[in-house]
Amino acid sequence: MIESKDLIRNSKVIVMLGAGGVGKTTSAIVIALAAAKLGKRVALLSIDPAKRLAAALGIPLSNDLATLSIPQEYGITGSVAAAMLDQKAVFDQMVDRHAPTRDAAIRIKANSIYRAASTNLGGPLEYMALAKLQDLSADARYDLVVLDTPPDTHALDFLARPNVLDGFMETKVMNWLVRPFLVAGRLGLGKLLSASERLMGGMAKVSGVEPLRLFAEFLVLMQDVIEGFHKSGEATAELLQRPSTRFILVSIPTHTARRSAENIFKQLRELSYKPELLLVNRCLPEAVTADLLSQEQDHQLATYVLKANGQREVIEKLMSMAPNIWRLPEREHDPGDLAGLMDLVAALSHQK
Amino acid sequence: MDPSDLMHIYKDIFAKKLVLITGKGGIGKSLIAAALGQFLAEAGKNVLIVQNASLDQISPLFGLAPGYDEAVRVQPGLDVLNIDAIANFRDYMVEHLGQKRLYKTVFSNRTVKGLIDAMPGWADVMLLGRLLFETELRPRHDYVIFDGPASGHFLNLMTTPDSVLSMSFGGPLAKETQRVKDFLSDQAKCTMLYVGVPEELVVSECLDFLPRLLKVSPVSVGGVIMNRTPPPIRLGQNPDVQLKPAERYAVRHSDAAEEALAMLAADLRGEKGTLDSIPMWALADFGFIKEPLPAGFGRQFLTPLRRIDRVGASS
Repeated sequence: MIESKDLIRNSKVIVMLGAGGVGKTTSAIVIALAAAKLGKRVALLSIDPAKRLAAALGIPLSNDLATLSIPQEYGITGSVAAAMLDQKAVFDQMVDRHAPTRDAAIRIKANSIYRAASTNLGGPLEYMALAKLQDLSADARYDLVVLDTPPDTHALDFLARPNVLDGFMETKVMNWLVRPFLVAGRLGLGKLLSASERLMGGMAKVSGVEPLRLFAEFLVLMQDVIEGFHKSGEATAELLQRPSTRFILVSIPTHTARRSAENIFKQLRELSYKPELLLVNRCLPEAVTADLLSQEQDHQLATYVLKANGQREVIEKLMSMAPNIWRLPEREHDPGDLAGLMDLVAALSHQK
Repeated sequence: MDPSDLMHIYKDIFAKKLVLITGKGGIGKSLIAAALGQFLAEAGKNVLIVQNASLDQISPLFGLAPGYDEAVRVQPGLDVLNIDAIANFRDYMVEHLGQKRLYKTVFSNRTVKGLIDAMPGWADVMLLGRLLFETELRPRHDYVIFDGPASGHFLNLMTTPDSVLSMSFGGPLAKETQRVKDFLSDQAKCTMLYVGVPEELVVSECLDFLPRLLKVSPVSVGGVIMNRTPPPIRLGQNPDVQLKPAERYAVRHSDAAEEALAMLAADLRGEKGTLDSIPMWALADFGFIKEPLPAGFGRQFLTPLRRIDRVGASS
């Protein structure tokens, strides 16, 4: 069993993974605070716009890191700087950094595919934002980066292919559809469009020609940026494979959440990442479980007896999957303030 | 509760053919979809539950292995389909457009995945299109229940048709997108259920989310379900008797839930009352959901503890 202190001390990047609604963002904050308590200077990257947690931390979360002011009474010797990633802002930064000229950057940002991809449509490009992880891990001001991943299913896509456009570039479609546009891009975009459009006959039956044309234009414009993405994707992949990068899988004691956890665990293994441990949130407090299971209970408590038995059953199953499990108790109230979060930090430090 | 009474309680929901379900992550959306599906199937209807998830979480509730891309019949009258963008694209090309050959010659899985990943909005439009297809174009079921993504993603999904249309591509994609949007806007055919639990954090998210959703979503909200409402606890009145840990826990749990429900009722039904007309039900906490779900589970599960009405008018 890994002690929480050891795990935190020996990590430079901690990636939190889990299905939606299991308390992943809260856990990320708790881990960050626990590390700061050990004297680490922590950068916490969140993607979850949980306003209440931002309020609990006492800072408006934005795309830029802001340092939390934590009252001395909590005995925190390190620091936590937190940011909530804004997909569009990070994407724009990437474009500014990698586009060959300022003019090219402006044209990219005006392309309607780019605008849609980088703002309101979300989707697979959202984890481009995690390029930020790369920057921060190389930043000497921080000892540890804690990364909270998207609450849905995209997190693993990001781990499997840190650069989604890179994957796209290799495909047949790329040759079939976009190469002529890339050539056209060099020769002057306008002329070759109609010739290439013939190649797109099949696709156009589904989509119409205009989206493809815009998309090809997008790719032509993005050529240099994509190369930049590619390099940063490779670097991110390397970073994720380092031994000082740890994966913490977050779950709760229900069968549904257990299945999700098992599924993520399996996929991580297939990607040759090693999930270090499983954090099980929202367990009934030990004293309550013991009380519920110890004796004949008032029939009014029947629901809770079922819950205690059920949780025990799930946790046993989880233990057969992951040898390292930390259990955090459900709190009577939401851990919506710093005091509540620090209680969880204390509970974490007792985990062995 | 008698099935016909339950049918009556949810009559406005069951008057629609497509029911979309959303809510914060981890509050029991899939279970509600399963319960609705099972209840309707046991009442003799044909039901399809559609998911778009990394893992089919509904088939296991009926004791079966998770399905991928193909419908699983989990019990008589109830089919469960977990479908991703690639399979949706395949089915769209092959079944809807009848372009099997084109699909086979031009598109490999990798190609399709690359393309769909890179084209913003496509996966979402195709998912919504699939719901239209199953409900309207080739209806094989009386009801389609969509076990939708969590609220944030759901909001994106609902705004996708407008986003795609605003790119003014023209052509077949735009035409399909418009058709999907018109369908979702049809209040006679589609409705949505928002699922929450009576916890302060979840309720405050609901209060923030619902008005935003109502503003942008073409689909109307047919009801709000507060899942996992704990049973009321009545303990002896003697203040000298110390409560045992489990009793204390139960009392606090149930008090916190009452507070959260009161907050919901006050904020949604009170003076601000923009959501006055949306019915809200509190469903009982079952403690722990054992699998497979027994017959009759849906009926029992959906029997409301009570309706949440204006403050002070809870019944």
